[in-house]
Amino acid sequence: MDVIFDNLAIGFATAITATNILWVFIGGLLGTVMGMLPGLGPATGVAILIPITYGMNPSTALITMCAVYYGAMFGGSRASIMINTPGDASAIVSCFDGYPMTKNGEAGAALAISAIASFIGGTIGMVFLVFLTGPIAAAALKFGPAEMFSLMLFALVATITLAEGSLLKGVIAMCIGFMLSTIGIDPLTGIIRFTFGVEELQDGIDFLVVMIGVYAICEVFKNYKNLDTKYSLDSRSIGKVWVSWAQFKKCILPMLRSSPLGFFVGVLPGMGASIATFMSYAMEKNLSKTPEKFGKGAIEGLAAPEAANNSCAAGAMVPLLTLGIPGSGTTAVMLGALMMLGVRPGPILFSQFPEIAWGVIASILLGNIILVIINLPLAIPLVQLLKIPQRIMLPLILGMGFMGTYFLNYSSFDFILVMAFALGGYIFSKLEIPLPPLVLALILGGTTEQSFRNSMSLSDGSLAIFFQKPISVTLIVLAAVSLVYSLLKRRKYAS
Amino acid sequence: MKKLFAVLMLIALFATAGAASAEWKPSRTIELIAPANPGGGWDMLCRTVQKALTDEKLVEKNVIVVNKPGGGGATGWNYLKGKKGQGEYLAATSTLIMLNNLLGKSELTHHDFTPLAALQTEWISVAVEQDSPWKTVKDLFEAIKANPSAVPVGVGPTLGNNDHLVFLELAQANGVDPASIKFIVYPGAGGEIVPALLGGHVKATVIGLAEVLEQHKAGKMRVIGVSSEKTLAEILPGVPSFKEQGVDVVFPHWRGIIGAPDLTEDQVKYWDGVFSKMVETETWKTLVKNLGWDSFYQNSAEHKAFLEGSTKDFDELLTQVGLKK
Amino acid sequence: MSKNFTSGLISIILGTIYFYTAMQFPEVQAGDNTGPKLFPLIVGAVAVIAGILLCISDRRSGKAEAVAWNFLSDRAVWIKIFVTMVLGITYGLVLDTWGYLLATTAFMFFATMMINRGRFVQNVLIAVLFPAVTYGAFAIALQLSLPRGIIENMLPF
Repeated sequence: MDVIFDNLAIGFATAITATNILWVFIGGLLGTVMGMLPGLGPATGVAILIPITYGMNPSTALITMCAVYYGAMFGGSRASIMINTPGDASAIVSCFDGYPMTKNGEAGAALAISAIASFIGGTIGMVFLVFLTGPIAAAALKFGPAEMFSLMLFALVATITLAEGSLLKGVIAMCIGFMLSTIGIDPLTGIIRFTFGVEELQDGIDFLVVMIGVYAICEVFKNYKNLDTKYSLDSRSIGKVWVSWAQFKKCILPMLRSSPLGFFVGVLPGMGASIATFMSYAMEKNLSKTPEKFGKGAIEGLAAPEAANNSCAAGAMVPLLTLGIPGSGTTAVMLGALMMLGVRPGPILFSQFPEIAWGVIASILLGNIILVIINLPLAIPLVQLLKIPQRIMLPLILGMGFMGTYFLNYSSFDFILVMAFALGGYIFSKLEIPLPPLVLALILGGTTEQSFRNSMSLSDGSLAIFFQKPISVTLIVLAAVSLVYSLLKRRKYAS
Repeated sequence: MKKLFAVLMLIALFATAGAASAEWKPSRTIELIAPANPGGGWDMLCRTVQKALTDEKLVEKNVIVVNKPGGGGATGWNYLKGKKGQGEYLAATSTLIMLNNLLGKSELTHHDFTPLAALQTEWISVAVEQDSPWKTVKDLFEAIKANPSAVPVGVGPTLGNNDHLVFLELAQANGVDPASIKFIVYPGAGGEIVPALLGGHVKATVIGLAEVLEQHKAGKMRVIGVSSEKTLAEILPGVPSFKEQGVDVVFPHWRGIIGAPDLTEDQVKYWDGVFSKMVETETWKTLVKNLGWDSFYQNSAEHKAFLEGSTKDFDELLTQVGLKK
Repeated sequence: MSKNFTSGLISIILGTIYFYTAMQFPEVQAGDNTGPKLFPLIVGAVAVIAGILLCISDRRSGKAEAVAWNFLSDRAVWIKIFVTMVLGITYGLVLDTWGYLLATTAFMFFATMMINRGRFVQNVLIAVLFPAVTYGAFAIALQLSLPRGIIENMLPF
């Protein structure tokens, strides 16, 4: 234990220099802005920094890149809350209750709680990182294809049960998400599937293209109806950028529960923050005494995924710092940048470069505080943006949406897809088909299929593999239980 | 009328004079096309070249990196193909320009472009668990021969890539039927394969050396061979190359630069001059070392001949293992 | 038709097309033992079954709610959606040749003219400023690549 505190002391000594704090500030601000814009995320933010970090010493470089990463996690949900447009996959769930809160005139409270929850999640995640890194990294290695598949199953079942109304519609949405996820070259055999001869589809459909379509652009479509009515928010009080104690109290437990969940999901190789946020939302909705308020502006429904999202980002640092393995797209770019500076994070980073490893940890703890300080005041001008009349806001959202789309793959073909998905999303909303299962199935589809097929390869075709491993069995049982539970609850409501 | 004629004459005179001065130079911003997203190997190559060219002042114009990911490089290369004769457009390339075509994924070959240089290479390695009984490539393949089902081999991101081909070549050389090997494909490549091997989900992997070098040094896994000509004494002492282990497989995973189609001799000469100078600079050498690459410079003529030879070799190999389409 | 029945029908149609397409995949000798077909076949089948179940339960329940397409009463909305789609797709088609600045200016001009009708000066201002500011911020300051297009020789960057 003492060793850890000694190391933390080294870390803080590295982190607390004027240069580093300045870079944390700049990086955090850049990340927040990047996170807000749909299509631009932490990976792009970090990539932009590569030429800038080249002249820095390695610890400053890594500290700056981490600040961008964290900033993006803070910023990602701003647009979700204000205009129902997630900045990246991890901010989808923040739309569920964040946007209804804005509609209820509570945008200020929503922005405040999301910054606070991000801070709490991030800090808890870092504490876990400091004290539990060793055992957790070891446990994560136990996650093979079979465990991965069972986890996917559990997450998907949880998301379907979230949907309001018919369970069958959730299943249908999930199937469509899976269909979209299988378009393109199958990595396991190299054959081309479902592209119908369109060459641009060979690499598959980027889920962010779908997201920009069904959320951002589709939201514009929906607002065409209200164009001529005066924008209601002008007259209404938007709400102070702060939360009341009563509101905060509701969020404490959800935040404390979601942080460990997010952290562990983040540690798993190849798992994104999207799955952590969906799972935490499902968990809170099931535990809540007032689940009917979820989706209509329940503040705890926003706080939980925000906390999970940020502790997930802390978790994603574990494989990078302890094993030298990038756990996510962003950490992969960070790894590349570090290598250009002659530092190769590996299993011995902690002993080889303690000042870098611990300096980064200390800087993230510090960065979390700085980011809250940036984000709370930033919310005040942001809230003012809601006063911009719809007739000006909507074209700007369109422009931003297209620019974000271009940055995803630098391909203008995606514009056609975005338009198609926007129309699809609009039709779906008319039919009341829930979108979250579709988006999640699209994000997880590839991993779900591949982990299933890899499990089958490993077991020479026997399904028993899913029931021989304790973690896998547990997850399958959990999935089954939550499905049955949700069916029973629906029956009770119906009768 | 006379006036117009005189003006036309003047223009013609200047035009010929311009052409006769032989020396071609970029007249606007130089675009380096990375046919991949930021962070990948091609992107890193472009950014390294950008850095070296700018810092060492080897070109007079601005250099920008343009990312055009998609189609295993095809999107970016197709974009370059549209810039016929314009010497300011360059793109990163690698073995994939041959493999994609042979695997039936793309129509493009190096004949569609002007090969300018090979710049660097990475080596491909075979790694096993730290406590596994296999110390040499031969040990591993004997185990596979005995019971292929017990030795799952991690590979990624897709079948038919460089890493996969190396393993197929090794299998053939060791008398193992390539079709019998149990490959587990990880589309997340190194980021998923390394934890899978550390966690014991796969028993061996064939992967770029940089991805496992640190694990090997830290004693978490064991590299049992590399695809270089000789032992890489500087970075990986004590691990003999495949060739030194008696298996004749040498396989550089090189990356290089191609220019737009139909570049003139002057344009090619200009870039030969620039790149031959660049690979000698300190900036370039440091970056190559930091990134764990090996220098692998070929000028335009050498590179073109090399591409011809490699294409033939790959064609034979892919036909033999039944992957050619 | 009711909401649920339409949803079910869409699922059945998509599922069938998807299933049929998956059936046509070639057999491959390289790769895993499950192959590329199984997962799509399951997904297609589940989509069809879920669709049929939804249609049946909708017919049985008797309290089906009709879809509010409002093609006529919301005519203005549907026309705007159609125009936006045409604009968006055209924007994509000309983006690489015209370059970001020109194409975006054109797109923003038409989009604002449709949405913010009648305020010509405001719209021209948005159409010129939006691309200029975003290009300056992302392509110049942050060095992300945006297409420069036909005016590339006139651009300083």
